[in-house]
Order: sequence, then C-alpha cells, then structure tokens
Amino acid sequence: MASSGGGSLLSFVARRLLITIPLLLLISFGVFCLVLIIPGDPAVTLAGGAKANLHQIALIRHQLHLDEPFWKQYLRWLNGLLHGNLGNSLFMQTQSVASQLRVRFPVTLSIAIGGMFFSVLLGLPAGIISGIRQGTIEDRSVTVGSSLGVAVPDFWLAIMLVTIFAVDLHWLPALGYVPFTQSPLSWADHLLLPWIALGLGGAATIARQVRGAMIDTLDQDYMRTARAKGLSHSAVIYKHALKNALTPAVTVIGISFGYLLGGTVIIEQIFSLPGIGAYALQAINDKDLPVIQGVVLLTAVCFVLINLVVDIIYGFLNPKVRLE
Amino acid sequence: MSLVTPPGQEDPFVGLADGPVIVEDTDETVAEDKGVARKPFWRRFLREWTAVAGLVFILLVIVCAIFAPWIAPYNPTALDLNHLNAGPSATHWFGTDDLGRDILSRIIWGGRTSMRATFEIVGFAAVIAIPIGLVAGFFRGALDSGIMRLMDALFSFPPLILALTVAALLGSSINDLAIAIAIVFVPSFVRLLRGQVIAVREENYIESARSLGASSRRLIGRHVVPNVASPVIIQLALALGFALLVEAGLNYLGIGEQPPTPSWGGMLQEGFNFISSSSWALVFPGLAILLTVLSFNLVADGLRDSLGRERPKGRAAKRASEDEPSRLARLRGISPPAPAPEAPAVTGPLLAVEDLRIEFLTNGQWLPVMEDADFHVIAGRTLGLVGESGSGKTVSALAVMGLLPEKVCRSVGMIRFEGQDLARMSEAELRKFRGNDISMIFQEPMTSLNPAFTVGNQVAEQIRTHRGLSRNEASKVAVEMLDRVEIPDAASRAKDYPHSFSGGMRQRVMIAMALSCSPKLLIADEPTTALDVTTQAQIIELLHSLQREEGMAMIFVTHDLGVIADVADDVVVMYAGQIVERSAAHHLYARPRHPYTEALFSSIPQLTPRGEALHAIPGIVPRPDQFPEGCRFEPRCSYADERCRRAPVVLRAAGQPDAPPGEGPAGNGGPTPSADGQGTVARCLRQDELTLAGAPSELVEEAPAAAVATKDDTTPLLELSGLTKQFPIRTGVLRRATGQVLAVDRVDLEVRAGTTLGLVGESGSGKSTLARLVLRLIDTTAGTVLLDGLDITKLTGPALRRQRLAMQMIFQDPYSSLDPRLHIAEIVGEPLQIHTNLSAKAREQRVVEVLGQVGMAPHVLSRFPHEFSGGQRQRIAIARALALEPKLLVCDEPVSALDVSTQSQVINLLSDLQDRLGLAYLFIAHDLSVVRHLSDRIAVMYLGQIVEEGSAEQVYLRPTHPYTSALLSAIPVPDPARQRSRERIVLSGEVTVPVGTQRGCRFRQRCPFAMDVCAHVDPEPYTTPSGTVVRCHLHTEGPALAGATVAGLHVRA
Repeated sequence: MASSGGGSLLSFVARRLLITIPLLLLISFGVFCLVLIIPGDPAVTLAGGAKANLHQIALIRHQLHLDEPFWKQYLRWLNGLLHGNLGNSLFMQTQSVASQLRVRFPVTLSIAIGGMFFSVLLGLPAGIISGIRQGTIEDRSVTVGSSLGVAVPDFWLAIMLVTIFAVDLHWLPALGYVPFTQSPLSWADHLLLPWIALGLGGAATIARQVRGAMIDTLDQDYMRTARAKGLSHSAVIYKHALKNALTPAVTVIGISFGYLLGGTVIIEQIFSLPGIGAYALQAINDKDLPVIQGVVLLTAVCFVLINLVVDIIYGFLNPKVRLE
Repeated sequence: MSLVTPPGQEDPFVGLADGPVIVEDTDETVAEDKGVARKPFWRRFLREWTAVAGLVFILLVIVCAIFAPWIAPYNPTALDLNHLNAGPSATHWFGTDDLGRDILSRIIWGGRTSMRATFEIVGFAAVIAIPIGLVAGFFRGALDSGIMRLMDALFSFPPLILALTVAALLGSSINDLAIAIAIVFVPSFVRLLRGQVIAVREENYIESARSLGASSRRLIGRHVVPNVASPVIIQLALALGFALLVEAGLNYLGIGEQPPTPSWGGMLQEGFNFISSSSWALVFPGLAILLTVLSFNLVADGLRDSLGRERPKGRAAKRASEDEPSRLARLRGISPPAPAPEAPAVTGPLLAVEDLRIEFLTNGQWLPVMEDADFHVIAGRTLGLVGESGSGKTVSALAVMGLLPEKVCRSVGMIRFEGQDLARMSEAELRKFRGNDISMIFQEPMTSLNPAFTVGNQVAEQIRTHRGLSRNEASKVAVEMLDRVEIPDAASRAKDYPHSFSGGMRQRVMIAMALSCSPKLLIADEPTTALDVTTQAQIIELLHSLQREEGMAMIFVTHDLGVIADVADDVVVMYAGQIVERSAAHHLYARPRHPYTEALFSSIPQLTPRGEALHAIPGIVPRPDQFPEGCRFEPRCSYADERCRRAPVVLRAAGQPDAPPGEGPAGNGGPTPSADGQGTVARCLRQDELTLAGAPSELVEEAPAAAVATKDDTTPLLELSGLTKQFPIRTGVLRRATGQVLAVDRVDLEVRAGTTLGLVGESGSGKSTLARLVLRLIDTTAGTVLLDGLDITKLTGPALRRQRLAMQMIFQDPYSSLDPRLHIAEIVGEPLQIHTNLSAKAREQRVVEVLGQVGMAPHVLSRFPHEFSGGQRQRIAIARALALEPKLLVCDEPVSALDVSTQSQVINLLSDLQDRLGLAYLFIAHDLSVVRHLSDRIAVMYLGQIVEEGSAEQVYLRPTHPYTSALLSAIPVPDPARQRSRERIVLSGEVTVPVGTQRGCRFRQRCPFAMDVCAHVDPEPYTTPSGTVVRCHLHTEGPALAGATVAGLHVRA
C-alpha cells in the first residue's frame, strides 16, 4: 500500500522507456520483413517484373544483398539504420533515403502537428461543453456534427475545401508549400486548408470521446462527494470532473496522431506538398523498397514516440496508472 | 473512425439513459412472478430511429450494388460527348463527368466495388483476429504477452501507410487490397476481444463452470463467446464504416480497382483532375461515401444502445457487486433492556424533516421511493436510519443534502435545518450549508474520493471553500484533520493519492474532510458497510470520540441493527419507502411496536440454537411499482389479518386511534428521548393488541453436545495438509519477482462427511484463495488436498474433472455466478450435460428435482437469471451445485450479499440440505455469527495461516487466540446498553501482506499481548486441553498469562 518506489512518476517514465526499446526493435524487424511479402523473386519484381533486364536485377540483388541469408541482411540493414543510413533509392542511385527524409519530414510534420492542434482545439472544448450540457442544443449540435465529422472522408473534404476556398473564392492558395523559415505567414496560408481537412475527423473523434468520458465522470461517486463538500459549480466541473475526463481523451489524441500521419499521404497529394507522403507514393508506384522502408519506419517511430509522450502525460494525469 | 479508440473508452454515447446511481439497488425486489419483461433486442433496436435510417440506407446501397446492371440507367463506362460535365437534369439525375459518363450509374456500379471490398476487409480482419483474441484472452500467460507485443508493434504503423505499403508490394488486385487493409484492423480487434474475454473470464460463472468440470472448449464456446459477442458485433459495424473510408482513400490514390471500372474513390480522383470544370463529379461520390460511413456508424451506435444494455457490464456491473456488501448482516446477541446511558440533554430539533416524499423516474413513470417521512435530529444526538435495501433510507439522507439526481428524481416536503427550509433553497444557497453546517460521508470509500487529486488537496479544498483560509493555511489544517482521524504520518500521507490508501483509511480521509469545517450535523450513509468488521469497529470508535469532542449531531444510515445499537440515540426503521417505526434506541430494542422490527430482531442467527431453523421473513421487499394497497409489510407479516389489507396504515403513537393521514401524530415531531418510550410511533394497525418480542434477552450458549459428538465420528472427506500458495511480488523498473506473498501458508484442515467447517477472517486473510485451492481452480505451490483419500493436486485433465464432481462451489456474488445468456434449465442442467449421458428429458427431470430441493417451482426453467432476485439466484446456484450429488460444497460468503430477511432463508436452506443429503460444507464468511450457527468446527485465518481451529462452541465462546477474540469483540451487539458498556479489543492497524521471508508471529504488530518471543519465533500449532488448535505463544511461552481471561481471551496453558 505504500506510495513510494513503484508509484513515482520517474520510475514510471523509466519503465515506459524500457518497454519502448524492444517495441522499436520489433518495428524495425517488421519494416525489414516487408521484403518478404513481395511475391516471386524480390529482385525481379522490384526491377520491374517481366520487362526488367538482367543487369538491373543483378544490381538490385547486389544493392539489397538479397543473396545473403535473411538474418544477415537484417543485421546489416539495422546496423546502417543505427548509423542513420537507410540506403539509397533503387532508381535514383545518388539519392540517399535519409537525406530525402530529412528534407521532406518537416513538411509532413508541419501538416500533421497543425492538424493535431486543429483537432484538439476544436474537439476538446466541443466534447467538454456537450458532455456537461447533456441534452441541450449545444450538445445536439456537437453530437450531430461529430457524427458527420467522423464519417467524412478527409480527402473529399480537402477537395471540397480547395474547390470552394481556392478555386471559387480565391481566398487561399490551392497548392504548394512555403517553408516556415522563409515566411511564417505564407507557410500558414498554404497549410490552413490541409490542417482543416486533416484535423476535422480527429476533432470529431476527440469530441465524441471527451463527451463520453465527461458523462461517465459526472456519474462517479466522487462527483457526489464534491457536491456534498459545498464546492461551487465551476469547481465541481472544472476541477473534479475535467482532470478525470481528460485522461481517456489523452489516449485518443495519441492514437489519432497515427491516423493524421497516414492521412498526410493523400493530403500532400491533393495540395501538392513536398512531404514524405508524396515521396512514399512515388516510391510505392515504383516499388522502390528502400524508400518505402524508410518512410514506413519513420512514421512508425514517430507514432511510437508520440504515444510514449502521451503515456507519460497519462501517467501524470492518472496517478493510479503509474503503479500498473 | 472509432477504430482508433482503445477498448473500454469507445462508447461516448452510452450511459446517457443509465439509471440514477444513487438509488438503492432495487434488484433484490424483483418479484418472481412478474419478472422483468425485457424487450427482445431487435425491438429495442427499432426504437432508435437514426439507427434504423442508417440500416435502411445501407440495405439500399447493397441492393443497388447487387442489381446494378438492372438498376443503373446507363452503362457506367459509356461516353456521351454531347453532355460533358453536365449538372443534374431529368436525363442524368446526378449529372455527368468530364467524359460525359452518367454519375448516378457510376456511383451505383462503384458501390458494387466499394461495398464488396468493405465487407471483405472486415470479414478477413474478423477471421484473423477473433481466434487470436480468444486464445490470448482465455489462456493468458506467455502466449498472450507474445501476441500482445506483436499487436503493439502492428498497431504502431499509421494505418493508411501500412495498408498502402502492403497493397503496393502485394500487387493491386481487389482481394490483395482487402487483405492489406484488413491487417490494419487486426490489432484493434484483438485488443478489444482480448479485453472482453479477460473481463468475462473473471466472472464467477466461468469459475463455476470450471468447477463443474467443463473443458476449455466448452468454456469458450458456451460461456465466453456468447458473452463477448455484443461488443465485437458493435466493433465490426464501426469497422465497416472505417474500412470504406480507407478503401476509398486507397482507390483515390490509384491503388485497387483501376479505371475505367468505377469506384467511389477513383471517381473522386478523376474528378479532381478536372477540378475547375467538374464539380458535380466531385460532390456525389463524396456524398455517397459520407452517407454510407455515417449509416454504418449510426447502426453501430444503435446496436450499442440495444445490445449493450442487455447485461450490465463493466462499471455498472461492478457497481452492483460493490454495492452488495451493503447487505452484510451482522447481528448479534442481546441482553435485557436498559436505559440509554449518558444521552445528551434534549433541546429543539436541529433538523426537522416533515412530509417528505421522494419519487424516481423509472421507465417513464414516477414511482415513490419514500413517502411522508417525518423525523427530527436533535443537536448532539444521533439518529439511526435502518432498513433493508429499497427501504428509502439512503435517498432520505441524500434529500437532506439536496444531492438527489435532478433529472430522474423529485421531492416535496419540508427539511428545516435550524429553522430554515433547505427544500426551498436554490443550489447556490444550499452550497453554503453543504460541507459546512451539514457534512456527509458515503458508503463506498473506494470510489468516493477523487482519484486524480491528493487527499491533502481534497481536504484542504473544502476548508478553503468554507473557511476562507489561504492555500497554505488550509493545507496545514488539512494535515491536522488527517492527524485527528488517526492517519499515521499525516503530513506525508497528505501528499498521496487515494489509490494508495486502504478502504478504512479512505473512510478516515472522508471523515477528516467532513469534519474539517466543524459541521453541526454529520450524515453518514452506511459508512462502515464496505469495511471489515475490525475496521468498522475502529471507524465507529473514531466517530464516537469525534462526536464527543465536537458535539455534533449525526444521522447514521445502516442496515445493521448491531451498528445502530452502537451509535444511535433514536432510531427510525424504514420499510418499502415508509417509516414503519420511530423510537428511542433502547426502547426499540426492548419493545418494538412494529412486526417488521420484531422480525428483523428474530432473524439474528446466533440467537437460534444450532440445529434449529432461523426465523426467516418470507418473500422479498416489494418494488415501488408493486407496493401493496394496505400495509406494505402485510404480505410478509405473520400477524396480518383482513383489516391490514384494506387501506394504507398511518404512523401513530401507542393507544392513539388510527387517524387519517395528516391528522395523526405524524407532524408532531421526532421521537422524544425519554426513557418511558413516549413519542414512539409505529405504522401498524394492531400495535396495541400485539406484544412483540424485542431483541431476545438470552444468548444461546452451548449447543447440544450430542449433536456435535456424533458428527465427529464420521470419516474425513476433505483433508488439507501443508497447503501453501505463493504469489510473486514484482517490483522495480523491470517488474522482476523480488519476493513471494504467502497467500496461504501451510494450512492443515479437515472436513468430515456431513459436517460444516466454518472459515473466518478479515479480507486479505487468504480465505478465498484457500477455497480456490481446494477446488483446484488455481494450482497449489505445495501441500496436498485429499478428497476421499485421493490427492487432487496431482490430477490433470479428465481425471481431475471427474474427481472435482464431488465438490462444488457457491460464490458470494449471485449476480455474476449465473451466465446471463443461458436460461435456468441450461444453467442447472449444464453439469448433467457435461458428465452424464442422460437424455434431454431425463435431464430436465433431474433439473426440476434439484430446483424443487431448493424451493423453486418448475416454471422458472425457461427464465433468465436477470429475472430473479439475489436470494433466488443464490438458490439457483445451489441447485446447479446439487445436480451431480456432490459430497462437499465450498461456500464463499454465500449470504453476505443478501439482505437480512433473505439471508435467513438461504441459511435455513443450506442447513436443511445438509440434514437431508448429508452434504459437507466448507463455509467461508467474515460474519462469525452466521458461521457459528451453521458450523460444527470453526477455523480462523489470518494472513494465510490458520491461527485457531476448534469446535464451533469452543472457538466462539472461549477463543484462545487474541485475533479470534478481537474479531468477536469487534462485532457490535444489537443492544444499546451492552454494546456501549462492554469491554472490547479494538485492533489497531490493518491487514498487511504476508511476505515469504517474514519471521515470527504475523499478528504481533496488532496484538495487544505481543511478547519478545513473538518477533523471532514462528508460533507452532498447539493443542489446548479443550481440543482447540491454536498458533500463539501465549499458550506455550506466556506463563504470566496462563489461565487468565483477558477481555474475553481464554488462555489455558
């Protein structure tokens, strides 16, 4: 029953970190295993299937060390990975995957994080208000709005936004990207529509979750205790209910980030943004394995790290979790 | 999209219409005849009009997709160069695209692609995930953790990217695409299913099926799968919508179905290439996706509302079972009435409740749960509200605080506190009283504190609100308060969160909070019900001393007549939403005026000699919609006659004529405390003609020696020797096993055929673990369990299942021990189905026969468990256990979840069955008086060890271990005078955890007689001259105390 030791935030963080390491290893192995699902002889398929010439096939086999035993290939790849080397693109031999990712990742991150902010800023207050004022007009609009928001395909929303605000109204640019360092205003101008398109679904999910969590929390015994103490309405709601209701919302926010990262692939295509999504799409069309592996790995690691942060925030909000 | 949500959090729209939380559980009152008629699932689904609309839309899309060649007005690939990018018109309803193709036709044909893919995706995912989730959740262990790590890794890939990559590398035919997307769904399906399976596995009905000898296959197929089906079906419906979104996204990116074959995603992509000219080509496919996904989600929500409520799961179920200990009945011996000692002088009432009526909204109907309640609380005195569940005692207490849930509850009446009517106050005005002049503590200390804030913060908050102190000052006062309620090391404990406190300590925190603003009135709603009897004694002692110091008044709500005797000056007895008797405490115990009060006293187990049936009140408490016209207790009353049925009965004083309501003495105020009983009122027509017995004056001392002696001659049926169970303690960052908890430590016991061994101890003593070891529901670490001479710890497979037939288990929680999906015939017939080749007809005959043995009529066969009250369910569980004619029943607290009046019925049944069938019982309970009534021998358990074992009478009347003696003295005696004057051992401290390496006597830290030797040497079992086996150095090493009798402890070295 003692509260010391196992319950401290520090040891909780340490434990989370320790769990993350094998997870990352497992992910790297999974990414490497992508080569296994390629039907037929990978070298032939990657080189373009039936129309590939022998020279190309040999080149790819050599570049990917496909003639070595599988575990040796993986260790070689992992070793490169730890040194920041993800290999070179199969078709643009001079281009290292890592360098491309370095250039393109900030773009994708700008879109994803901006979309995340939009989700949270819209979804959180909507969920809270609707949970507190159950059954009112506000609640109903949030409920209906979030049902629609969850169902709307983000790429269609993006298309509609472009049609209305860029093509018809000319309020915002339809395409392109300006780095933040060059002009922050122009950067935001170009990303506003992508953020909305990407973040609306997340906002709806968060609103639904927070609403449910809020209603659940208001139903708890300790809320009755808070009222019995004679606290003001706002202290009852905003102190006692909110912290507990936010706890599950934090998890949802972490998980939606994965969906946002995935969604950038389509959004980047629609808005012609030079992020890793566009890079991945090209690579997928070309079956450019090193590039595909690089992108998948990067997004997965990114997702894991975000969720690590989320877990730690969760542990901070919910002291019970620290004990597991 | 809700695929993204982890299990347990994914249903934001559930819980809206869940009933009020504060209402006392009225489940107990479900009448057998009327049963709860539950509408079938589909009818509940049809009430959700949005879900129905969604379903209709989906069916429409599916029909269109199947019959596309006949329905679509045009060929989807036919070009019409005369109508490029046309808007909607009579010929092209949805317009045409940039090649002049008809958009409506393309959407209909596209639906063919998209719907097929959607169902394929979810189908594949389900086929992969369901077996994995079932296996992982059911078998747990290394396999489970391996699977879950794999799922974690899979879950770490952003879904769209994973699907995209796999699809691209696999190739691009539609089946490959479906498999690729299916992989995205697998981890969340597995997680959800595994979570559900684990939750169901914890239910008692799984354990009882295992103890019936059901194989794993049977357990999964018959019990697990049906009970996890609902959430899985809901999740599948949600997944359909999300699968469609992903599929359309990939089509948009050119993966999957290739042009010119239409798909919704592909149409959007083609349209986007001509964004400036073809806006109609962009609108309709998008709408098609949006509406279809929306429909899937609406159907899922509708399923959740109609399927999900079929059985209370998760929190609701937990709440129900957590509430159950409230029915613990701890009633005990009695002595002649005596005047109330040192009752404070009487002044005007501090609180006057008059004509209070409370109604709850149940199924669209306002039903009264409390009617014309009248009671006074006088400054400095304690009013006890006593009654069974459903009597209205808790709602009355909440009404005083204005804490009834507004939407489902309404009340009228007067609640005057120091002359001001609280009932007429606004929420803001009430707030000044709450927590300040009037404070409240609740039944459930485990859930009444906010888990997200430190306890110091929560105490200080109240002080700041009402006393206007600064943050710092308030924190200091908070620590002082925690110190006053005797929380050790208060200053540092104030910084801890509630979860690191035990139940008793949390209740102390609640008390510290409640008293922090020196209230004039403290309302305590069953504050000790959820606690162990020893902790209860500590808390009551604390409340006593704080009340003396503060001079505050108390309302003490409880079902326990012993506790009432301990605390109350005046008592209000409630039954079925009415006050039935109101009296001064000592008067009530001596001369009750209502038959219900008398009946409560006479159900006290140990007032009845062993071998005689307990007095049981027949029937059950009626539900609010089934209250009788006349006297509400009449159907269960042994004194009732014709007149009692005619009209409602009023509350009146002795000798007064029955007046119509309003003119009687009801409004005249609370019971006056004078010792002659003036002011006593009762709601009984015949109160003047009847002479009712109070709590009987004589305790039954010795049981007939003959009965005990004959039973001792029989052979041992069950022999435990050296039985030990260790659990690893995991600590540190790596969660390595750094020690062992000795949950059960070298236990030697035997149960003879046809006799009862009672096993008692506080929670955490290892009683339930021992029971599960005996049935081999868990494996032993060391020692043997001989059943009929055969060691079952070594048996496996079919041999074990056969041997287990001779033993069956009855669980504490009657709500979770019957599978909610099966009807009674199947539940009771299951053991026969597993172990016999009886025909269906023969089986039913046997089922009817055993149901008859437990007093249930054959017409219950086709009913479901939820249609029965707790007591009835317990009977059904007993019937199931009897089906294969076992020799031994292991009963784990079988009556502690039941109301006082139902409890005696079940106890009588058990002892009757023992006499008729020659059953042996291992009877586990924390209630020594129930144990004493049923047992031939009693074993007392503390921290995994049996500290005392002997004949029931010896252990009960002449305890030899200090712990036994403390347990006995902690039980409150239902007699105000004796309870307050008797010598008691109140144990300090709490049950700790028995660690393997610990040396010496485990009880020594809490033992008032601890000696030096106790710290170093493990006490070995010692047999006293009277035949009791005791583990205590007092008997072997303590010559100073030899032969002494200290506070009821008999030391006979």
